[in-house]
Amino acid sequence: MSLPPSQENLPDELIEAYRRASAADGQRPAQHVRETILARARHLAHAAGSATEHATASATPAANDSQWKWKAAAGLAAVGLTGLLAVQTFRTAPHGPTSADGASVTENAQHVAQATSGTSTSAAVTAPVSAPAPNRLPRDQFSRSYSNAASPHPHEAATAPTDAAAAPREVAPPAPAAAAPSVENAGHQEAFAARVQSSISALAMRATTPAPNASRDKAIAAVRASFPELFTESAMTGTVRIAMVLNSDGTVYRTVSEEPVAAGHIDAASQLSRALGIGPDELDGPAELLTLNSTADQPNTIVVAFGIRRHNLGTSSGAP
Amino acid sequence: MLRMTEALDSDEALMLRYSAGDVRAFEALYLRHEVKVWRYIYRSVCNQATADELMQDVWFAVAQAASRYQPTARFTTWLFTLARHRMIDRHRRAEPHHSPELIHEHGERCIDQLPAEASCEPSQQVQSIQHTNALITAVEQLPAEQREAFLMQAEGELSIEEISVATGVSFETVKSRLRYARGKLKQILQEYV
Repeated sequence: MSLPPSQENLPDELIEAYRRASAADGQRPAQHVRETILARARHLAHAAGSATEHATASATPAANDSQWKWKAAAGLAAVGLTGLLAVQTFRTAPHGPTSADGASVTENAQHVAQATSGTSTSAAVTAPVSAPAPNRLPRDQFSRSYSNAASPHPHEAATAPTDAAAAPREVAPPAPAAAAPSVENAGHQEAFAARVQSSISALAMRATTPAPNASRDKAIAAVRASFPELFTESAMTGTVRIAMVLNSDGTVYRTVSEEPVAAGHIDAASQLSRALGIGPDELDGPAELLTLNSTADQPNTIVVAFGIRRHNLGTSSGAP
Repeated sequence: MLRMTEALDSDEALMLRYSAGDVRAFEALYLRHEVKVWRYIYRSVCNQATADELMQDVWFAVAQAASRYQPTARFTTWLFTLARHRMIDRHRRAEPHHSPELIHEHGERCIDQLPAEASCEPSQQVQSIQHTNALITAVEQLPAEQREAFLMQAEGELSIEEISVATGVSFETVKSRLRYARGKLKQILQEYV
């Protein structure tokens, strides 16, 4: 053995000398130690690989779980949307169809009423011209729609729009299946489908049923109330021309009877303007002519030019 | 036989590869450090069976900790730190009557109290010196702390900073221990020479 004599490089040479001596030393770990250690390492690696595979295999259901969550969320959203629609339907059903349907029904009722003006008043009573939902339509639109509805009693007609609870009583039920909606059925798809189907059926029925001209009925009632003498046989002296402007609630705003009848072409608007001083711009809709039979054996004796005033400013009668 | 890539891979890369399931990386890592670690243990405990047992414990721990291994420091620093802790743990198990106060917070006292095996006794040193290397025997006769620092430097090729980290003492303390170790080795070797 030789050690470096120099004191300066002793540390480095000491370590090198030790390493040479240690390398020359025959001491080694036992062979079984190496085998044991390497076997253990392989076992741990295999176990880790199995765990990784297991984790990977278990990760697949996790991914499926995520998809399941998405599906569940979509299902809940669909159920929630359906429930919302059902609740809306049930809330608006007593007053009529839903907003879109209500608007359509009202418009259809107006169109049908205008197209079938001159029909009997009995049809007006039985035909379910539904009142639109008060909270879904503008006020003037609502009033206009309701003024077109059949109502033999103007006072009831005037109070009905402001009483949302009373309005459904004047509307014929659209269908037996929808006659008694309940909140308990809100979540049932079948009930919802039945209601939708019944609403559609009711809408179709209204569209095909001849709607009355409510304004004419109001005018007839107003003429009978204002000029009862014309409807007695003894009082009839010939043709009587009446100009009448009604308020939207059916009450008489202004009216006058003219005798003798003016010659020439009869124009309702010009008559109202001439006789009452009310122009077409003050009317809610065009002026109309109405011919009444005072009695069965004396037809065409009462000719009424009438219109509905745009704003209800009060009640007056007689000549302007 | 190791592949070229495994021979060229760093210890840290091999450890990471093993943590990914590459058993050959562990084999390469083990063969690269097998003798060094064993010698460090053996020179510390001076017993073949004990060194073998501790060797297994150390490398079992390495394999077990592979999944959590992070190459924040040199692998050899971690390896020799692990070996040192295993020796201290073994001494604690062998000397359960020692109160915790007797054990230095960094295990230095435990290292000092590591039992000297029969082969380290002076009576056998002459024969050992005669048949092996006097330097080896001189190292085995060093105080435990100095021997530990010297073996980490000589076998593990750790720097003073790494020895400081592995032993939990300051940089200056390590330098002092190494200086004392070299002085004593020089003295012992001069006596034999």
